[in-house]
Amino acid sequence: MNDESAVNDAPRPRPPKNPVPLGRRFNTVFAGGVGIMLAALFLAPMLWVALSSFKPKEEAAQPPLPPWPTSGVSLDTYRELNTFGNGLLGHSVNSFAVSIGTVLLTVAVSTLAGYGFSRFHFKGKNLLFMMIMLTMMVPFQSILTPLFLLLTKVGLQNSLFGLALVYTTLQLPFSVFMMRNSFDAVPMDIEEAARIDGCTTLSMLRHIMLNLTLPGIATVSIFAFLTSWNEFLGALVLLTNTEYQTLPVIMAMVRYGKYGGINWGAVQAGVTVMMIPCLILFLLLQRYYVRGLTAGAVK
Amino acid sequence: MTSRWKRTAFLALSSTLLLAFSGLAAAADTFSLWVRSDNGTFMEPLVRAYNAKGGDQVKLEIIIAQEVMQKLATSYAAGQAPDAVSLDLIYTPQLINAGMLEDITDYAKSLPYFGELSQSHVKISTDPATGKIYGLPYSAESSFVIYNKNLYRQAGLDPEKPPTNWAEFEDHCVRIADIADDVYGFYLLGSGGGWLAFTFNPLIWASGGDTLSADGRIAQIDTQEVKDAIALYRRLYQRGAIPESAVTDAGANMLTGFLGEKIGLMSCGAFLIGVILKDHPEIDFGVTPIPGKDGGFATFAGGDVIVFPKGTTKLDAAKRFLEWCYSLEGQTIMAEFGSLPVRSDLAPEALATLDSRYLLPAEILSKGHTPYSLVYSEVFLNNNGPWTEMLNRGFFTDEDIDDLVREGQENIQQIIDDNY
Amino acid sequence: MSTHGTDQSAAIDLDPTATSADMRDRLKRKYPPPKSQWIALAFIAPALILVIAFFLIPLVMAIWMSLHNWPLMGSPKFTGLTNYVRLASDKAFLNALLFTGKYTVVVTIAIFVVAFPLALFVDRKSRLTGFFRTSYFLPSVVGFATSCLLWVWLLSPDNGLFSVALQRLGWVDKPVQFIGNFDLAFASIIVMVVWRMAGFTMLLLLTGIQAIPHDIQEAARIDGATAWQRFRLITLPLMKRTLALTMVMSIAGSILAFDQFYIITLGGPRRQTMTAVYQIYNTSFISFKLGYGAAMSIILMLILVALTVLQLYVLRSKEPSK
Repeated sequence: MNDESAVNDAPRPRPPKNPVPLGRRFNTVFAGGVGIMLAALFLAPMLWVALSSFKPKEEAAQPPLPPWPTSGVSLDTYRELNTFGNGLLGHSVNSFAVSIGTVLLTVAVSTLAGYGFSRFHFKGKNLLFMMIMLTMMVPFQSILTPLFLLLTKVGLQNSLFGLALVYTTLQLPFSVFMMRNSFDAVPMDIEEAARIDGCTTLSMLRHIMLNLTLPGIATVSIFAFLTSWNEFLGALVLLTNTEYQTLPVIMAMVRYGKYGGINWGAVQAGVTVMMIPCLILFLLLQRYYVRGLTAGAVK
Repeated sequence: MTSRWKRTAFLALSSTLLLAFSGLAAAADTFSLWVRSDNGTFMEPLVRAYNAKGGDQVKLEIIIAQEVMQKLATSYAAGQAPDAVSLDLIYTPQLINAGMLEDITDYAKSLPYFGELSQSHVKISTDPATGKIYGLPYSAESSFVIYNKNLYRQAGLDPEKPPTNWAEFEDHCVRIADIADDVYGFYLLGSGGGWLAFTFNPLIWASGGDTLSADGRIAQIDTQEVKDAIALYRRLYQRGAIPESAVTDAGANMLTGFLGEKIGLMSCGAFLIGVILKDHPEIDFGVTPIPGKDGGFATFAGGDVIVFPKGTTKLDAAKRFLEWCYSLEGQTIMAEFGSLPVRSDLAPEALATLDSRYLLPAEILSKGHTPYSLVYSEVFLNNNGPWTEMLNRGFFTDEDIDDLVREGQENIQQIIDDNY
Repeated sequence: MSTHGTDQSAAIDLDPTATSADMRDRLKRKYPPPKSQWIALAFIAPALILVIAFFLIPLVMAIWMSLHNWPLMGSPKFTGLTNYVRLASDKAFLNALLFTGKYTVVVTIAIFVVAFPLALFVDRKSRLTGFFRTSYFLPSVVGFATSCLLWVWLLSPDNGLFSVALQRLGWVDKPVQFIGNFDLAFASIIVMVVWRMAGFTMLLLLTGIQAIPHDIQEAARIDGATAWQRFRLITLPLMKRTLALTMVMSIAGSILAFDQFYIITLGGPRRQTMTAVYQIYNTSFISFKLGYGAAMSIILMLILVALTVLQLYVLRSKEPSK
């Protein structure tokens, strides 16, 4: 699946190719040049920080011209970053645990709800749907304190699972919207055929519908991962113990700096560490992701 | 230097040995202690050394400094407060006022060295209405001026004669700024509220003014001393002695200039001495108190107070730890890793092996001021608060200073009134 | 990897005539509701439970708090609508709202001005199109706070990239204080947000463009319509739904803006880039006035809901009748 460039996915009939006139060929070359320049602009900041993070300590504090290390490659900045909190490894594990937990929960909950909203008709359906969508309209900061008190009451404060539940809730409006539209796009006939073959609702959902809505699920997963991987304020407030903290909280410590200002090397290393999993995940799944977004967004 | 290494090596060795035996130690308690992230540098080695003894165990949590109050209040509300907290002393009145802390009056007074403990810390931990004590000094920091002797020489100034009043101060800064285009006389965090309170307030105190009444209920911003101090910094800025980057800095580039030997003078705390000695031993620097307009000096007595949230069951274990911190061993470790001693009788001994320039901040500490206010964070620490805004406009714009302080006075008094 | 079924679904996804609304109509027509309401509720229940537990209850608590003088510590006092009355004359909050509005308008326009040409550009077929789409989109994948931190570094006058690069090029002779005055700080934030969001908006717009039946464009071309005419008379009108959706997302996101100002400009210089959410954050977590902060949140939420309803209403009324 990777041979095809991914965001390039929308099939559409094209007229047969005519021989290309000279003027248009110039246009093509010119457009290619412009496109490459634009790509360089968009990619530069990320490349810049990733390259700089491999400079030795003193060099990392200097302006990044050129961006690559000139006095030898070094992992100094990562060592510096490792001195914040309980060390890089533990916090990365926390971050992955919360993010993956959120992805699994979000996919499960929003697939069920999306199917329910797409395939059933019942009283109050629109009202319930609007209620879920309302979650998007409230600044998260404003419900943090009540949320903390609530989580404590049910014993989920200071727990990665509790945090994943909160993140899942925050993901629901987008995910349910997405999954409802994905199911809407699957013709009823397929479902009917399966039913005639004797599938129950759940097994049909599992075996047939899931495959058809895979792009939607990929979109929902990527969004859930990215949001929970990057969320800061909730993690800061809802997790008390340092050993449970996620990477963004550690990054906040880096940003506030210890006495004596920001450690720019640690900033570069931290930004790189935060960036890489997001980029990898996207590049691996972008084909599905884009298709899912298409299915969800046009509607 | 060598004795420091020896001690570290000894500590490491003894901790390993003790750790091996700790399983056999008599029934000891474990209690939780929160500290703010700024103090992680000395808290981690301190707690490691204490835990290695094999008795009581300290469970240390390092909390981002800006978030300590919020986390403390929410966890207290949820019944999950830690057993002890070391927090910025200016917050204590707020906690006392909310009735969140254990009364430790009798215990504090029973300490044989109670009279030797930093009085600014004790005062701010005392409820002015009842005289009861709710906290004890834990770590100390004071503000003073640090200056680069090399730049003094280059500017034709005597490096052994730092400024003793504002006229000299201004003159020195301007002359150092004249050395080269990229060299400046003075640096400050123009957008860092807490920093400005720590380093700018002493100018006012040393000249006989104050920003708040003693009980913290009346703002005293609209005074000649405040106007004069603002005008001093404005002149420095307009005469090119303060770099442009100071306007927006809230801490990100705090030391870049001074460590790069591009800044002549800077108001700061003792931690900077440690940073220079460790990372830039080549810098030839001196220290001097923050002067008043016509001489004299003042300092902000800052640092941490240790408090015990109401309802803790581990008070005894926490007290045993505190007493060990007050011992020569504890005070020495703290001094070595960046906190000034809070016991004045042990200070000379605890600082004996350290650089002699630590003595000045330790000595002036006993004459330090600590503002008492229930709205300190809102007025002063807040980088978007009225205090920071007034000073920033005062230093870096042409707006009329009289108008600015009048407006500042109103805004700050309003915040105080809202909270009583 | 075998992807049975996905190709088919993709083709359906992009069938421009199948909007979800008329798909639902069709379903209703052909298949009357066969199952009981309870089964439907069972499917939706997990989502409802989460939303009720972790959103609605805290929201109701926040509304309750907004009727109190609720300090961080100590006991709250019921004050009725006092907080709301005070908000009406709170200059700081009103200024923050005003700035948020200004930011929302400017950044939304800026994103569209960049994203629309990009979408048209990557709609062309060429060997590099896939690479272009991916590279323009990639910044959107990086977390917002992470991007902000990256830009704090790039914008730093002494240790960062831009200022030093401009100096080396000889365009400026002293370090540029990017967050030193309002205009420069505001412009820096806009550039950063456009960098971060343009690719995402481009992709949404691209879906809209590609949903336009090709024959319509081709017919117009044969009839001699210029590219501009085709864009104005065919592309734009047929993309109304996509445009509206993208706009709703961009506006809602901008009204809740916080990270970029909290991390990059710190609300400065001199409080000039304080947004509404930043003001809420400061009130609740720096001044510790939880009740007052909650009242601000409720007002902001009402504004946002009103705007969204308005947008959806405008969108619905202009939808071409079938």
